[in-house]
Amino acid sequence: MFFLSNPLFFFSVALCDAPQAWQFGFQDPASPIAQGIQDLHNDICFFMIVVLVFVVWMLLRTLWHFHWTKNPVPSKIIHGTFLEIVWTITPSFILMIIAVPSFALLYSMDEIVDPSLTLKVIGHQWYWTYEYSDYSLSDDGSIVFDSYMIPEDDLELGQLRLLEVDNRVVLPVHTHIRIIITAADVLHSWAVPALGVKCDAVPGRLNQTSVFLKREGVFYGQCSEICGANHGFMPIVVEGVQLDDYLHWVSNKLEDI
Amino acid sequence: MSDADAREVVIEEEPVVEAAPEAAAVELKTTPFDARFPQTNQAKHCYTRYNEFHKCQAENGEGAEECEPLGKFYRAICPQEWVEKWNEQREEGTWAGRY
Repeated sequence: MFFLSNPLFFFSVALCDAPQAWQFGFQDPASPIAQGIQDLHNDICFFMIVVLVFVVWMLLRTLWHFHWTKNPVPSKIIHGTFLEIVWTITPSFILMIIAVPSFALLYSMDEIVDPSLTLKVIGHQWYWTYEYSDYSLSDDGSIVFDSYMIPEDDLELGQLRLLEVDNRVVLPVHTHIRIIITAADVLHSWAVPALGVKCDAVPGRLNQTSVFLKREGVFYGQCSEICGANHGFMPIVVEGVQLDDYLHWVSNKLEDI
Repeated sequence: MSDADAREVVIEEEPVVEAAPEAAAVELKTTPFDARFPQTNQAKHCYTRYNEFHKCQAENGEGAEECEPLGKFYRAICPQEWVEKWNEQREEGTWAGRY
């Protein structure tokens, strides 16, 4: 009965998992981390607006009350110990309040919850290679494929320009997934906004991050570290599917090896 | 429903029963979290798992059954390119590790 508790079930809502023209906000979160990042952003925006209103109010008040027509003799006060203590303590107190949820989120992003599968992502100039090696009994029995962008001329109606790839990464929903990210030549960065993942791919380093998909969908991302001439043409597409479908996809892929 | 009909239904269901173990053969299991390697950089984790597998093989003989899980562990987190390079070094005798 999970679907009944989901408010989206009652409305036909198309969730936004790809960038849109003139977009200002976030894409719809598809993982708890992405949800956490967006919630933290919104919470911090509350403090930002309070501070902004206060500072603007002070500035306008000063301009109004100390205009030369009303206040011909300039004030000669150059020190105010109490005032200085207040305007030092208050901002640091606000920063400390913001730091609490910020650090909680930061450390929860590093947390690896007993993963059920590992995806290896390898950045190349200029495409991504994906490896699934959980099911192989020999060194050359892994599921390995390259993921290239579909050029503009080959796009079909409804496909997204500069975002579509020939081979998508297929991942199951409601499963703890470990992602190992590295590069074979220069720096790259594997980023999928809807999943709240952005991790640098560094040659010689195996960066680990984790992801937990809350729902099915096709999530789009792009290389996020300048990596050469075709940096803008190596997008990322993650397809979140039900666990059974994922297992079928894996067994089909294993048969092809 | 007659007995003959019931038998027919059972026969129809058979292929589904056969397909199920095939799908279940893909086990959802990977290298577990290792408290020795809590860092973001898992390069050392991969290198250690690779060495542990070859240590096991050196002690129990090539293709020993108890080494199979260790083999799966390093394969799951090591990039194929790294493993190929290390295997090559082992064949050439230029491998820096003990095993």
